[in-house]
Amino acid sequence: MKSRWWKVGALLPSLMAVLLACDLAGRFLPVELFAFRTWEPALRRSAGGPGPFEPGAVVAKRSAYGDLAAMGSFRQLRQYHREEFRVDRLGYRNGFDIDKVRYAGVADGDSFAVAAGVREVETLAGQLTRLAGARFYNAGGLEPSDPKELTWLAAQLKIYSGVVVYELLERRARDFPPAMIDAAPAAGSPPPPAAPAKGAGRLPPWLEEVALKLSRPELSPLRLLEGKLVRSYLTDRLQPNPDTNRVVRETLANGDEMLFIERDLESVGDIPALSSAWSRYLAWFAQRLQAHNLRLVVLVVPNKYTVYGPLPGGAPRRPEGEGLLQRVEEALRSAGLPVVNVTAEFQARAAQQLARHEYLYWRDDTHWNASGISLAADAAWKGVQSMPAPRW
Amino acid sequence: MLFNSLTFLFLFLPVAYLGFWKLRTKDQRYVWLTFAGYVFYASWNYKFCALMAFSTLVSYGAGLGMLRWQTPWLRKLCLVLPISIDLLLLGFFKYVNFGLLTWFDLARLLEHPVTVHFMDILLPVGISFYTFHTITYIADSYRRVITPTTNFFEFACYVCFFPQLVAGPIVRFRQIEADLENLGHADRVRDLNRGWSFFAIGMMKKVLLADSIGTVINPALADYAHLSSVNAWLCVLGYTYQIYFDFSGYSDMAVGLGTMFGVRLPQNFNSPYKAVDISDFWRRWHMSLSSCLRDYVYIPLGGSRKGEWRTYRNLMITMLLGGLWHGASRTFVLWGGYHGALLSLNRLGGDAWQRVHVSVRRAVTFFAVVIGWVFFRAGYFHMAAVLLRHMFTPVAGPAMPGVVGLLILLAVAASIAHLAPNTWELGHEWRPAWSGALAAGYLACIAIIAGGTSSPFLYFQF
Repeated sequence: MKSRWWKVGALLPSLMAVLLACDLAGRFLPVELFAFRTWEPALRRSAGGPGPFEPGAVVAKRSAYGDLAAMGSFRQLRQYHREEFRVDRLGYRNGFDIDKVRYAGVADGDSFAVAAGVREVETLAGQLTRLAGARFYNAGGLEPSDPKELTWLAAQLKIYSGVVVYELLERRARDFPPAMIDAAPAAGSPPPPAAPAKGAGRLPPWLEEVALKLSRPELSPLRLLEGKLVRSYLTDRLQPNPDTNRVVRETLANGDEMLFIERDLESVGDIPALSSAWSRYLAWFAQRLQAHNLRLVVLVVPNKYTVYGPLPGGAPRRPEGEGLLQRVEEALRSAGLPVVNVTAEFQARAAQQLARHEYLYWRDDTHWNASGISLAADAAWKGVQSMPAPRW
Repeated sequence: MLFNSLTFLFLFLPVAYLGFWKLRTKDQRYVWLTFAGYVFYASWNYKFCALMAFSTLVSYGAGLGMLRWQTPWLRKLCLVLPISIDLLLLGFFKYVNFGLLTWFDLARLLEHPVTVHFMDILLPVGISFYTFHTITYIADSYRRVITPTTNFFEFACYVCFFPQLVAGPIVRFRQIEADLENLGHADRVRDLNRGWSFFAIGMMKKVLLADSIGTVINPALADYAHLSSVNAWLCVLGYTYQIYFDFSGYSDMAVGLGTMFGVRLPQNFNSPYKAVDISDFWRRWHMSLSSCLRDYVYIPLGGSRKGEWRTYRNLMITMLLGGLWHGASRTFVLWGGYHGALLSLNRLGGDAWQRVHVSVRRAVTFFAVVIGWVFFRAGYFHMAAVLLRHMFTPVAGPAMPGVVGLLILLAVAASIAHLAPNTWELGHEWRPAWSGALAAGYLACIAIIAGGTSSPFLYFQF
């Protein structure tokens, strides 16, 4: 065989070697280059600490857009915006020096508490800080924390007395709450374990970092670029988009289009059972926090569809989620828990704003926007103020 | 570990390849290939390695027995015993639940309901293929077509040679015996271009054509009850090309890999959709299986030597078994029966058929094959019936998602399948521009694989 570079026996293996080298080298580039928003690049890639995000990460995107537009390949519905995401040493979304602050409380919850597409001051914790005149720590994660995690956080942050605003999203309330695991919560006990990286502690940190980057397929730029490329032609014309059915596109009465996650339109399960389970869980939760001078306020937040579902042109609809949230609110009240349900207020405000084309949620994302968070924070703060003074 | 996976392409293949060519003697290479075969197999389920090793040992022992003993009854014992063991294992893992279900349904039909406890059995991947390898080896040794090998690792390497281990082609020992014997003197560079060319073309057939077609038709077929007539035809045509490019792509990749390791595997597809009648189709489709069925089932049953009706019976039995080989499902049996009937019909009207214009014969044969794929794809009778009803009675409905892409893919696939030369008819000594095109296509496949959007080969389930 003549050794000529174009011979496939030489060309293809060489290309594979080059590709492998590029892929491995590309893993050391910032992941945000390939992501459509700041969330994913900020997610934890190393072990240690309780938070869901990479400690110390700073991720900025100039033209981030919503998860629903990405999922459903609705390019024309993207709402581009600037996004910045800073993570503290514990792995939560806080851009300030967390050790040099006095706290009024903690905002706990899921991705709504973390917030997508808004600046840090516009998050639930940021807005509560504005209203309280003292810092609220953003403890939002993929899931809300449990009492043990919260009391550990409070000890770390030296919060000896304060408020925990617990954001309970309708989507979570449609499922049963987590199990009540009653390990005695001690303030000084170690943080909840994060999955340790293989070989953690046996290698020098830089080598661990290298090993981690090389062993994580999700950090492969080849994979990320391919994902973007494939999404661009998964438009249901050339190829069906497997996620299309997960996203519902509706035209509102003002003519604007809005995207919803499909499962938010599904029927709610056994409402009495769900509401009593949440009331039991949160009563237990509040009791555990009370032992550490932390007062729980539950902020009940509707799904986007529960707010905007009644507003599309055509026959008015009454999303089932509204009934569930009402029952959860009643159950929590009867259990003696402070609760703020913003559903009715959101629905009223959304209807008022419609003519002005203003919204409480991103039209291309599942999450609320700064306006929605502000409204919820105002309501939550009123709830905090109306609570009886603590007896401790 | 699939051929179209990053682990295979960037880890297993380079290590296996470099290790193989680093070793010098054929014995070392037998051991290395055996080791590589077991590692490859263990990537699915390491527990089944023991099953393959057991089957290998039994068949190797049978070969030694036939070498040592010349007494007819002892030779027959060496034939019957290991083949029975192989078939028992295959029967247990593949057909036990099917048998139980059939018994249950029959009893219900006869109004004597029985209680059946189905077994929780995991089908070892590729068992149908390596069982056929060992059976053909034993049968050929018995018939003295081959001389059984005394080298255990040569035999083990034949059974578990990773390019053909899990989805064929079904290689007979005599087809690669010379290459195995010559493994110590194999030339690394001689067939390198040919090997890579086969591998890349196979990969493109699989990833760019078969998988892309599958992405459109699979969601539509999942909701088959609501398919319009046009969509039903598009789905069935799509499946016709999907299964061809999937399986022939896999076979090309296997042949390419075999070539890289100095072993020339036999051709498995010879442009089957260019067939002019159904027996021609079976000489071109999954050639290694159809020749095995011919040599080890049809001919031993008497073939066409014992009168017309016995011939039809033999054709029917062979094709029903062929259908059943594909899987423990009644639709596979029906598919086999359908092809058996077509073969019988072809035999009955063979002379008249030869007088029809060749393009008409091709079109009618292709149409008959397409209808057959309905049973093959359906999974159960109801689905097959609904699909056929929607194909042949007008049912309106909206266009399915991805229809534009599907039409483009069908046009490309049909052009290649019906008009272009197949992989074996190509020279594989490419000019720079064609090498570049091949490389671009191959890179596109790797990008798709890297994104995690490639899928397993359809024939892995058999």
